[in-house]
Amino acid sequence: MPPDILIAEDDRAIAELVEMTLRVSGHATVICQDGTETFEKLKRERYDLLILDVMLPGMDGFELMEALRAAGVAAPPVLFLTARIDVKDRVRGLRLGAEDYMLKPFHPVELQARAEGILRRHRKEDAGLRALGVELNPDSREVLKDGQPVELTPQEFELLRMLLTHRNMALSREQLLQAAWGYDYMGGTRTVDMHVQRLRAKLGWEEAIKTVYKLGYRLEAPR
Amino acid sequence: MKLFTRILLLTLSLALVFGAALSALTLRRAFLDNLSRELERGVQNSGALAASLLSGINAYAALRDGDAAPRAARISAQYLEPGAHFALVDAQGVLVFDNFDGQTAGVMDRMPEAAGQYRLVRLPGGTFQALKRDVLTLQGDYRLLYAQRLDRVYRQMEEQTRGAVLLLVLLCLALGALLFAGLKASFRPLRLLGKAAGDIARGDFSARAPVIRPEDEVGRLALRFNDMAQATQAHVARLTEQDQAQKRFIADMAHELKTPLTSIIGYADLLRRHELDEERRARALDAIARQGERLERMGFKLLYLARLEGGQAPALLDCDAGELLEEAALAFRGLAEEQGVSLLADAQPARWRCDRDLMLALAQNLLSNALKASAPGQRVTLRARQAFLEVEDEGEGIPPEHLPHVREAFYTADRSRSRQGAGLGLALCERIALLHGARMDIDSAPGRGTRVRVTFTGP
Repeated sequence: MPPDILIAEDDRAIAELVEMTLRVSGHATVICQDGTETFEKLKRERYDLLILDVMLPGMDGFELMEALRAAGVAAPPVLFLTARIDVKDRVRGLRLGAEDYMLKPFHPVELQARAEGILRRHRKEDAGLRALGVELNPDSREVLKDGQPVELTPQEFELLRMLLTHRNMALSREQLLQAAWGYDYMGGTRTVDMHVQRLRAKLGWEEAIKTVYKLGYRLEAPR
Repeated sequence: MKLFTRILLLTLSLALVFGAALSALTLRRAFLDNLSRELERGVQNSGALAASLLSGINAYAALRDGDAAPRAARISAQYLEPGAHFALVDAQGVLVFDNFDGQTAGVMDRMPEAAGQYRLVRLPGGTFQALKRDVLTLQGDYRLLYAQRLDRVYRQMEEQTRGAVLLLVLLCLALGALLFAGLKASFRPLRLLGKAAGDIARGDFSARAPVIRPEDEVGRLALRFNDMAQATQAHVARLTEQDQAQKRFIADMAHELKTPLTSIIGYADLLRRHELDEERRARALDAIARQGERLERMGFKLLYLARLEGGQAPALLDCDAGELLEEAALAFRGLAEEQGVSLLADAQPARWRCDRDLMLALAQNLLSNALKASAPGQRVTLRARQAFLEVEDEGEGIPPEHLPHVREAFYTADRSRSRQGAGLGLALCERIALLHGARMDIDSAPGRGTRVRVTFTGP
């Protein structure tokens, strides 16, 4: 599989963290630690997503985006990753055409979700989420298992969508609760357990949805 | 403007009092002169009248005229001055003649006691000189009662007084106007000074008082005031700059903390949520450990800096320069070897008065920077002399545009900081040098290397 995501980040440890996070959801990545090199790479090669640090040696993230635009390079969508809190900087990044903006320190789960979100928006032909023979279509709200429709409650649908988006990443019961029932739901996390049980039964995913000790659930599926 | 009013009123009233006193004295003197002249004239006139009466009575008597005295009096009365009246009384006290009228008859009752004397008589109709004279004729003794109006003198005095008062009032008005204008001009610099002070109080520290007459008191005050304003402005500017530097420091620190924190939080979260394979798991744990240590180092340096900023005087003790150098170098021997850099410690016998821990931290920070800048095969030299401590490398050097800033906390030559560390080292070294009364000079050229020398200038 050729690399589809370019990571421009000069701090080795953070670059590897981003790489590991994205590999979890099945992506192949390349790391570049210098702004100028990143620019050269983007001129030669095509990627689906650029994770871009603002503070880069050689050429900073903003300069890089301006240079790409000036050179007429068809750049991939950009997810800015920066420690700068300044609203001015955020606005500048988004003005330059960045898709999204994430502040350091960040949680890998969130990075995964945002990266997936951008990728889905840009791969129109591949709008659905698929894993292990199950396909979820967010627009028609249909779920197919091996081509056969499966009846899911709205909560089960949202749970499935979360698990598919964050495949191979454990999600806490609180996160799942928030996603499926909203922030102001007052019920306990046992509700999540009940609905996950039903989802496992309906999809035959007793093995695929793993219970993670002390945390929550994880969907284990190759991309 | 109270002082203004006070000076104006005080000057005006003084002028008024002096003017009034002076004119009163002059007027009084003129009046008295006038009066005595008039009285003298009265005496002379009455004398002349007495003489004409005497000769008249004697003459009429020689003509054997029985009514000699009244006739002589009637004749004399025709030549009287205006305002003069008289009466003639014979030896038996019988009134022979009088031409007093209703208004003036009262004078007769208030004649002086003795002949040849006069007195002033004040009646509702006017003031008179009352005079008694003997007219000793051949026919017998008569007594002349003479009264002369003095109204002219008094009227003159009144007129003069009125004139003087009017003049005084006019003078005071003129003086007031002149004073007002003069004082206003004199007080203008004070008012402007007050305005400048107000501007400064409202936060405009660049406000200055105009110095209109530098030689007078207000001018000198304005000069002093401006000196003070200058000092205040400079002080405020310094404080503002310090405040901004502090804010920058905190912002930089927050930013600098985020890089290691991102790794620690991120890897920990990844480990918790995902089953990483053995190799990645090890790398994640390694990253957490290394970034944790980085945070710890930064914490130590910040702690040092904070303590040094507190201005606590270091404990200066006598210590051997060579030993200190060896200890500093020892910690970096391993790293230097790994990098293929040769580390030289060149110490001449010397003893320094210093805080050993701080000086060691200084030397090690300089060494650490030198090693970071060096490439394999190059040399880092650590030198100690009685007058200085020096670290020299042959590494990449500092670009000239960065040289003025490298001592600032969190400043790194490269805008991305991850490879160079947080940029606290030189800031720390500088503080330590200053606390020892030492000077830190950085001599660097790109491509030729860097030499940092700490020169002890104190005793």
